[in-house]
Amino acid sequence: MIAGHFGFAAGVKAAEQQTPLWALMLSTVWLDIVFVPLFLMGIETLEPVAGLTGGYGANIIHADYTHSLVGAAALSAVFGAAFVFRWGLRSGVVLALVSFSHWVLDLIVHRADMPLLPGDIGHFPRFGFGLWQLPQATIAIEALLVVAGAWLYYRAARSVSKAAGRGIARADIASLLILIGGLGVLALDVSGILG
Amino acid sequence: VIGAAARRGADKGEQGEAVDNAVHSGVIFFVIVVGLVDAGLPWPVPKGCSR
Repeated sequence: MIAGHFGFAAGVKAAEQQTPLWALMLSTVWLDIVFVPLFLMGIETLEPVAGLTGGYGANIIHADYTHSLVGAAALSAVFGAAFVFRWGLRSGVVLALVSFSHWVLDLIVHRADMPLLPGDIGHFPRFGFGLWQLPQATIAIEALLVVAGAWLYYRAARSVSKAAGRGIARADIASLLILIGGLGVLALDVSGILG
Repeated sequence: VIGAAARRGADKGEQGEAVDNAVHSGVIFFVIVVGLVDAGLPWPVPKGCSR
């Protein structure tokens, strides 16, 4: 799931207008950004589900540090704290929560591969409701998140632009970019081009 | 998970890796462009803070 996270970030922007969209979008994929170097170092890995060849929702993701419950909470807190001095406590908390929303959305789709503690210390039961076993349902939810996020963003952006008497065209362009870009990312993800 | 394609890219060879890199660059570009367009809108700014 990638596009769904972006859609969620756009929706949050409509409610938390003081926090820049780029920071919200960065925060929503922060756990995945940290995952990349760990993946390249072989610390976190992917394994195709038995009988499948990988692709959209067809991997067991051994992201035992970035996508553990406690690890995700810690990474999110660090991300939010990094912006407190620049944009204030409220934006910092919002960014931390949006970052952690990544884990919550992943909880719905991941097969039970997300541990409680970093490194799966204690070998507690893993989390994941496994909606990826029904790819069409997951695609529908991701598309819904993108469309709803773009729509909420559009309404908010239009409202502030009208009130200020400028930026209406820019608001339309940004909303369209979120919608088309988000659905494009989803299409790439589903086609297996994007992981 | 972003980066999942890196493994498949390696499996597919250099061409596949090039495609994966281009796609991931496209996603990053998307976020930058949307962020820049959004930054030009008259959103409220927290008191005493700056963008």
